[in-house]
Amino acid sequence: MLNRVGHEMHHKLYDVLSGVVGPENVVDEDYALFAHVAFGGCEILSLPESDLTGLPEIVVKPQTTMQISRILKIANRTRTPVHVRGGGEGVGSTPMHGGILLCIEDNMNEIINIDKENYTVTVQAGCTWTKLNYELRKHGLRTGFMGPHGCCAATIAGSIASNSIGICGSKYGLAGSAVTALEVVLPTSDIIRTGSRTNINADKLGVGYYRYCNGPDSTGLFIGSQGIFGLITEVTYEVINLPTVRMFESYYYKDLADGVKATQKQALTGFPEDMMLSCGRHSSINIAPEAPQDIEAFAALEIAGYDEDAVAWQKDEVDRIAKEQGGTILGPEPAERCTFDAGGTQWPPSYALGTYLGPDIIIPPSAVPKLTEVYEDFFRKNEDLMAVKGAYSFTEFPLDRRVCSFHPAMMIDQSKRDVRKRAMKLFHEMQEIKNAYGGTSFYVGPGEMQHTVKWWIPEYHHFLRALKQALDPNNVLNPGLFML
Amino acid sequence: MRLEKWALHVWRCFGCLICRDTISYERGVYKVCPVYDQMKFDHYCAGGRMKIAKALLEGSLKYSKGLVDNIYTCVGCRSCTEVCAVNPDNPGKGLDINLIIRAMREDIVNAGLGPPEPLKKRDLRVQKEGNPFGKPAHERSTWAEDLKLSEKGEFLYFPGCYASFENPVMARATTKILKAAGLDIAYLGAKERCCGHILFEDGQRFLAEEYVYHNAGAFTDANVTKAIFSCAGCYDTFKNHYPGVVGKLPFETFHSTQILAELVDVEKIKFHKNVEAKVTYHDPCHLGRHNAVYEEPRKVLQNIPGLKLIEMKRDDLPSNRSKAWCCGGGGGVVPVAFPNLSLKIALTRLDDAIATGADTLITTCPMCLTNLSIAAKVRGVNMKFCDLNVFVAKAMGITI
Repeated sequence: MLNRVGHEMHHKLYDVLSGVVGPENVVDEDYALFAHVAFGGCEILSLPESDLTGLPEIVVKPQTTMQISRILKIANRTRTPVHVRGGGEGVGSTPMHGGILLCIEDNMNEIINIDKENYTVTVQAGCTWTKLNYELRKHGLRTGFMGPHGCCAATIAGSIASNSIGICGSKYGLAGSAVTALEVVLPTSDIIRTGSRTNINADKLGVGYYRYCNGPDSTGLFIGSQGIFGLITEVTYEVINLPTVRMFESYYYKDLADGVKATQKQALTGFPEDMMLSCGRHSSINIAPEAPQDIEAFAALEIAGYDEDAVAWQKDEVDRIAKEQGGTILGPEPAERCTFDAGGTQWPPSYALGTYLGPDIIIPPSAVPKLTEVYEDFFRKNEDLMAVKGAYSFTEFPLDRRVCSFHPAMMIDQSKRDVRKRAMKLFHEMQEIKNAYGGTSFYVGPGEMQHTVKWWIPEYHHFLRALKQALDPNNVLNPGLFML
Repeated sequence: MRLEKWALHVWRCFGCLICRDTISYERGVYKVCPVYDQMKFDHYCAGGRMKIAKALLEGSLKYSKGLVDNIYTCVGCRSCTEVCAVNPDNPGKGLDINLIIRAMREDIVNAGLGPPEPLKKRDLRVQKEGNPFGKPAHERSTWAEDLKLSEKGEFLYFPGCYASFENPVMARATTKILKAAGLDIAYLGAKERCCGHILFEDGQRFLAEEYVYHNAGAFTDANVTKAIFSCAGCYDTFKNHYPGVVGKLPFETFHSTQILAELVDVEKIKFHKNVEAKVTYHDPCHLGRHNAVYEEPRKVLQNIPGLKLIEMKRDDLPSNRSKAWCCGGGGGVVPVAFPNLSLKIALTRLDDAIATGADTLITTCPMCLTNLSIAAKVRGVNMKFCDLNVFVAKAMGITI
């Protein structure tokens, strides 16, 4: 499994990197390498027997942007691949076969500046969403998007680079939506800043106060890039006043298409802070056992704001939409139970049934009923693989008010080797279904990339390759991603 | 391989790493793993260790000297279990990482690769003298010579090695309080042996089982119906690990604070004098997270007139009860094998205590008491450290 560059070279690299970051921030023991590699939710793709990735050769935790720049200089000189990881729980890792794994987490997690006047916060890349929002709360602030579902280890830059969906995404979009500026170390080791931070004097008016200025949206180049164009080291992000009024509501529908339509219309009002829709009878009654057993959809939402009457009015409005679409109000308790800011607690209980296996898809809501049908059929055919009979679910999270992310998943028992082998095959089949129905990926990790890239128009892949070659002539930073 | 028994649990971990260094207002958590907090790499937290366990189960990884040391750095505090929610046997509850780590340690011992040398030496002392300090076995009951305790009875007090050899005032205080409250307390005397806690923690299961059989047999011979422990480690071992060896115990197990709280309730323990003290209470992991005994010690303390109990916090979040930071005692493993790591963890906990402004830290585990006292000496902090039983005895005006 280990893909060493050769003893002498390895020791040299170890010594050089230790010289840059200090020996206490470098590890290369085999067990330590195993501990740092994973694909979070898609554990099935991970070691020890993945055909998609291997081990890095050295794990390094740099403390500063300058250290990262020096490491990239060394990598270019020695042609050593550099892979980058945030909190390490995510799905969007890189296909590793040797090289350096840079962990950018608690070693670079300072909150640099909270600009209360201009409603931005600037943080080091490794700050977690939960830590950031914990600190912002003290100032009566929070981020709009509050981090990916269920994963408290996720870092700001990791989420931005892998374009995470997550908590409060229905109102505030994806992780990258509220970025106003970045500091990035380019593959060639140069350090740049984007947005208003491009102007050396602009920070005097407010650190990174705006994204769309100084020419092309260079910030956007790095969002969802999985770090192929550069390594994010600082992020400036919009913040909002912490809501003082919160109301929850849940609904059920006897028809899935009605549930989807109602959820879409509710999202379009812009009122719900966060929303989720459980699709199909099976997953709906699993998540809301108090609902009638013949329901086809269960929805939960939160409205938040600063004025009791205004929030109540907004809630009346979304209730009206649900009822008009044939929905029945189920009360706030089920919605509070799978509340969103607690870190997506609707995920871990399902993980107790087995390990999550399924694609994550961005689609228009209108495609949800058909895809639910297709995947349900697929799951039923492969039910013998599930940890518990019937352990599958379909969840829709409205995104950005208009589209949604859709998550068909089956829960498998990974402890069995034959299950893992078959699951790997099924994973690829599920990716093919997603692409065949026009679904797209918000992140593209090693598991998704072969399927995703295959369906791209060729010119787009050429375009990305040209960009990559221009920015990373030695292909040292996160090589292999997007088949580049 | 003992680890195979836990394969389903190991593979259920999906690597969310909430068990590492989470700071979350919503979850009321200010960092989770005290070992990761010092060592800063994933192989020192539960999530990383589970990835290692998967590789071991698949044969992709073998135990090396470095890995053996790594596995023995876990303090077994169960903070990770508290935030986890993927236990296949208990949906919504956390994986019992402590038991998985113990299984790995048993595999290490069975393969002849461990435990690390300092622990091996300590375990030899246990084998030779029945206690980890290497003190002559016959000194175990010295503390009770003048107390005239019978060897048989309904209520049997088991002080354990720490109180018997290192902190006899704790054993005497516990006994005297219970006697003052009218309980006829029995004591095994020279028949008592180490409970086996540290041996279980070291992965020396076969050695530990000898002590389990011995003590369980002695308890049965003594006609015990209620066993009382003042040491959190002994209590946890009898309650949670003895049944796994000898089956259901023919007696109930109590930590002394549980009995004390009951005696306060029925007014058999009364405090007549004001005790003007600001104290903070440290929840030992083996009493708190391992056994959910949180309120009883507090109830006893809150009944002492004049005493002000101040809970520990981390920034704006609680660092008490299930959120308490470990003292670094690590089931007696880490202070012996990795004293510097243990001390660093203890110093962090000491900071929590200092921040309360309390003059005395009270706890209910002799290992916590020792570890935190050492940290205070290192830092030169003028804070008193006291076992709860000792504090209560003094507050009751009992001469220990």
